[in-house]
Amino acid sequence: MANISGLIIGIIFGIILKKSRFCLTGKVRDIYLERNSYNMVLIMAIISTEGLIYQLLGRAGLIMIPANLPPFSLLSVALGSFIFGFGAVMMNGCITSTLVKCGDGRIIGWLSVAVFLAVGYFFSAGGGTGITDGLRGIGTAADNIPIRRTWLSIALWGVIVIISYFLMYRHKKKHKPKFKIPGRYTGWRHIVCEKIMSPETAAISIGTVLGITFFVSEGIGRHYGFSVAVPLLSWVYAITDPIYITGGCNPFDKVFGWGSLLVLGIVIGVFITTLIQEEFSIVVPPKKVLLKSVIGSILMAIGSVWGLGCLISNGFVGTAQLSLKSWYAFLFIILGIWTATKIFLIGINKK
Amino acid sequence: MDKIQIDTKGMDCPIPLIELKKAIAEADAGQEIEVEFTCPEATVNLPQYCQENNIEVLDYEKEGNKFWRIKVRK
Repeated sequence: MANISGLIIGIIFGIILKKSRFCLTGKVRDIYLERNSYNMVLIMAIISTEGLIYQLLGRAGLIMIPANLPPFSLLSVALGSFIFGFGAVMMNGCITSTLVKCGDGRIIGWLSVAVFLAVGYFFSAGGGTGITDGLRGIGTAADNIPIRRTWLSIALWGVIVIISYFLMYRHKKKHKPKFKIPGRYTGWRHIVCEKIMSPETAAISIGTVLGITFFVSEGIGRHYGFSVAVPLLSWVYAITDPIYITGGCNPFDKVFGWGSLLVLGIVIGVFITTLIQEEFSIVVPPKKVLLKSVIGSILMAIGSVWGLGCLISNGFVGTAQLSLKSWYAFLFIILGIWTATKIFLIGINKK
Repeated sequence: MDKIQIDTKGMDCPIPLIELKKAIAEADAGQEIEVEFTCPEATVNLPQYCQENNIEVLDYEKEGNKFWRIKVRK
């Protein structure tokens, strides 16, 4: 029954993503593609909100902030993260966006999940584990930023929260949307069924949910934050019961449980919101995008196994924990996203 | 001047916005462009781009739960 809290967190997260149309990969991609520097403020608002909550929970003794995080391979994490970011652009969204697509009826989402599970399984518990383990043994580094367990980290996140919230307030005031998304309701029905959550509210909400996840997850003895890639793979592990799993840095999610229901919750949350918004529709992708999307999903699967996490677990959760591995991974995910953007999108965007 | 019609149904962001921008660049002044799309993220991206670039939105509608259609004038 305790695992139900994972399902609830997932549902809330899915509702926020769907209600706001917030795409994590899109926010990183558009810094480069659309020269939209404001997205950096939104990203920092998410990370700092979560980081502040994480530190305050730790100071209050409600969660455990570990003294040391597991060491990581500089080669494996860099390569995997770059590949993940590259694949996320080819798929038009990271693995979290893929779950959103599953929930709102886009067939491409289900196809992507299937490919992700098959390839992710191969490299984490199947024939490709030798390559994964070999890579993970090259050039290991300790993950220990000394200020992680000091008051300095609270001050750091506190200052960034204040700056990012101020910049969001100023931007929102100057850029009020003058358009309205087509709808047929007014009053509360419009707010519930049709109104889109602003990116600023979404950033704060996402950061808050990611922060609270540490507390909820700790409640069942899982000392980790929000994660998507390994919990998604846990569904296959539960069915196939492999002899050996390389896993990630979180042993809890290798087995079916809290994380497994968390990812299911995202799909359910999106599905519920889509039904309320009267937007649910089975959308079949045109043939010309299929191959690119499949390759993107393959790259995301390999990347998340080698990179020890996806965009959300490294870029938006580990960074808030001040994990050196996650900041290092986030850098290479960004490079992967921007490289693929340059190759696949900049050219056609300029035409 | 004929209306430029773009069908991006089934394609996810950023393709609808890229197609709209491409059409705006190629269109004559005053020409109308109509984009049909299914990507939910584009419901915000397209009108937002038009607002920021002073492109007039003539019509914006939802076709049941199937797709959205936005008509703009360059």
